[in-house]
Amino acid sequence: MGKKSVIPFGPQHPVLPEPIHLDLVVEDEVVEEAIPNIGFIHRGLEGLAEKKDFNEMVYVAERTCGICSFGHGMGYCEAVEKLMNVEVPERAKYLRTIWMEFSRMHSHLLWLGLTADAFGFESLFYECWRIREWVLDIMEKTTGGRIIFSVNQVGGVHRDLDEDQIRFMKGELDRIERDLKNCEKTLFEDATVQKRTRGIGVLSKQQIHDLGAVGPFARASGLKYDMRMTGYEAYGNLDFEPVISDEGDCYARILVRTKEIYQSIRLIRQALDQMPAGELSVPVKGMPKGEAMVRVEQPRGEAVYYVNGENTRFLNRFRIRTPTFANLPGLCQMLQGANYADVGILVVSIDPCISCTER
Amino acid sequence: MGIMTFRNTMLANLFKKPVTTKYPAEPIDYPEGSRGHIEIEIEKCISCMLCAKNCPSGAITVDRKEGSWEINRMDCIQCGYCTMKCPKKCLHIVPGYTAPDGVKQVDRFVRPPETMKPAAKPAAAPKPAEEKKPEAAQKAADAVKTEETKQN
Amino acid sequence: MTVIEPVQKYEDIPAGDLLVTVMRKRQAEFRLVQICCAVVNNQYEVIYSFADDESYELTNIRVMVGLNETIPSICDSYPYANYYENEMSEMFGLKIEMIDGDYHGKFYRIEATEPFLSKKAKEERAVEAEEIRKAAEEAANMPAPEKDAPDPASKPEIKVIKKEGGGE
Repeated sequence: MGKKSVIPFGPQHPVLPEPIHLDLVVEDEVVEEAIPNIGFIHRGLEGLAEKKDFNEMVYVAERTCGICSFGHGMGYCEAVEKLMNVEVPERAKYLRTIWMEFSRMHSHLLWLGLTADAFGFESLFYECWRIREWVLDIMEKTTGGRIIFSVNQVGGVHRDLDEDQIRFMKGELDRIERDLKNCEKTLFEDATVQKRTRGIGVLSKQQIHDLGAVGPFARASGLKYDMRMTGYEAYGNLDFEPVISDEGDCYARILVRTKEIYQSIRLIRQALDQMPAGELSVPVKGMPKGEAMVRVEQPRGEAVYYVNGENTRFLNRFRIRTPTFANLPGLCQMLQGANYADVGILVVSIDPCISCTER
Repeated sequence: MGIMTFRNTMLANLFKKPVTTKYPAEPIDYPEGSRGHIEIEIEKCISCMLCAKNCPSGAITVDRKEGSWEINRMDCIQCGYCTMKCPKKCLHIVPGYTAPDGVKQVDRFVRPPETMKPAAKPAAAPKPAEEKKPEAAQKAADAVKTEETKQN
Repeated sequence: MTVIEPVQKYEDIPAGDLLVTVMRKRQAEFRLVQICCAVVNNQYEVIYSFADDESYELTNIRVMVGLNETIPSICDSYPYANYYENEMSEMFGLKIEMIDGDYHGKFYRIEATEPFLSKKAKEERAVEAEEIRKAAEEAANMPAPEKDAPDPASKPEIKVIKKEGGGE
C-alpha cells in the first residue's frame, strides 16, 4: 500500500503551449485523480465587449488566441451578421473558407510538432514546424500577418486574392504535401512512436459522448461529428467527409489530425477552383439588437459564439465557448489510472489551447 | 513497424544549408502587403479625429487646434482600421515592424500652417512642420510627457 | 456531400422546471454544449444549450433568475457541467447549490471577485438582499399561532403498540 502525494503539473511545463495547472494525486507512479485550475492567462475579453464598438470588437476577438485566431474573428463576425441579418457576398465566403482551412493546417502542424516533442523526438518536431513555415509565408503574403490575420470585418472581408497569389498558393500547397508525405512514414510506422502512443489514453465512443468531448479528440474514438457538415460559409459547396478512427488512443488522434491536413489541402484546391468573382463586403446599417448563437468548427473542435445586443453600439454580452473547455473533462477522465510518465502525452493529445479557454 | 524510419531525412538535412536566416545580421525581406507600421501624409489631414475615435487600442491622439497627429508606436496593434476610416485616405500601412526599445516611442506630425484654417490667433507664431528624426533626447522628452498625459 | 441544415430552438422555462427539463434532455441522449450567463434588466439570464449529434439540432433553454436567488446544479444528469457552473458563480456571482466538485471561488486563479458583474448590478443586489431580510424579519415577528393547531416544527408522536400473548 503506497503513500499518496500531490504533484503540481504546470503552469510551466515543456509540453504545454500555454499555462494550465493540474494537481495530480499520485500513488506509486499511477495517477489517481487530476484537478484542473485555470486563470493564468485570463484577460477578461468578454467584458471588453461592453466598452468597444461592435466593429472594433473584431480585432479584440481575434486576439483571444494566437493559434486559432482566424476562427474567433470569423465566428464573431458570423454571429453579428446573423444578428443583424446581413448576407455576405459569395466571394467573401470562399475567401473566409480558404483562410480558415489554412489556419487549420498550421494549427495541426503545430500540434504534430508538440506531440513529437512530448515524447522526445525533436528532429520530427523541427520538420513539422519547418513545413508550418511555408503555410505562414502564404498567410503573410495574402493577408499581411503571420498569426493574426485581421482581414475579417462585419459584412465580409477587406482583402482580395489576385492571380499571382493564387498561383503561388497552389505551388506552395504541392510543396507542403510532398514534405508531409516524407514525414508520414515516421509518424505512422516508426517503432518509437508506436510504443509511446498505442493503447495510451483509450476512451470508448460511449464515454466520449457522456463526457461531451468535441473535435478531432472525439472523432478519433469513432464519433462522427463535424460542424462543417452544416454548410456554413462556403462548405456547403465543397465535397468532403469527416475523418474518423475507431481506436480511441493517442495514436488514433495523430492519425486523424494528419489526415485532416490532407483533407484541408484538398478543400483549398476545390475552393480556389470554384471561387466566383464579386464584391468583398456589404455595408452594415443599424445597431445590433436581439440575440444569436453560431457554431463554428475550429481546429480543436466546435466553438460556440453567443452575442446579445440591445440596440446600442456596444454589445450587452459576447460569449465564446471554446472546444478545449469541453475537452477538459475528457482529459481528467483519461488521467485516472495512467502512468506518471504518460501524463505529458495525454495532456498534449487533447490539443490544449488554454488562452482560448480563459479568454 | 519501422526502425529508424527518419534516417533519410536526417542524412539529407546534414548536407543541406540551414533553413533559418541570420537575422538581424541579414536584413529581412518583408513581402509586399505585410502589415508593419502606419505612415501619414500630413498635408492631406483635416483633423477630423475619426482615426483617433475608432482606434481599438487608443494609440492615436489628434489635437485639432494645433493640427498635430501623434501615434504611440508601441500601442499600435497594426490592425489597419484607421486606414479604412480616414475620409481623405492619407493613412497607409506599410511593411517594417517597430523595433523593440526601452521607452515607448511617440511619433508626432504637425500639419503645415498653410493647410490650417485661418481662424488661428494672429499673435501666435506659426509652428514649423517637424520631420520624424530619431533624436533620442527629443524622443525621450516627448515620450515621457505624452506618457504622463496618457496615464493621467 | 449532404448538407445538414441545423435547427435552433429557444425555450423559456421557470426556474422550478429546470431539473425536470434537463433530465428529459439526458434521457434523449443530448449533449450539453454550454451554459451562458448574462445580466439583463437586473436579473440573471442563464441559457443552457443542448445539441443532438446526429441531426445537429440545438435547443436553448432560458431561465431568468433574480439577483439573490439560488438555482440547483445539473451535475446529477451531466457530471461535466461543474466547470461551467463554477465559472458562472465565480465570474457573475450567481448562486448555485449542490455543485459536484465545488471549487468555492478558486477555479480561476485571479484576484478580482465577480469581475463581470457591473457596479450597478452589485448595488441592486445589495438593495434586494436588504428588502428580503426585512421581509423575513417581519414574518418572524408575527403573533404566535393558536394552541390547538399542531406545531409544524415538532416531530410527530410515535405510538408504541405492545404485542400481547406468548411468542418467541
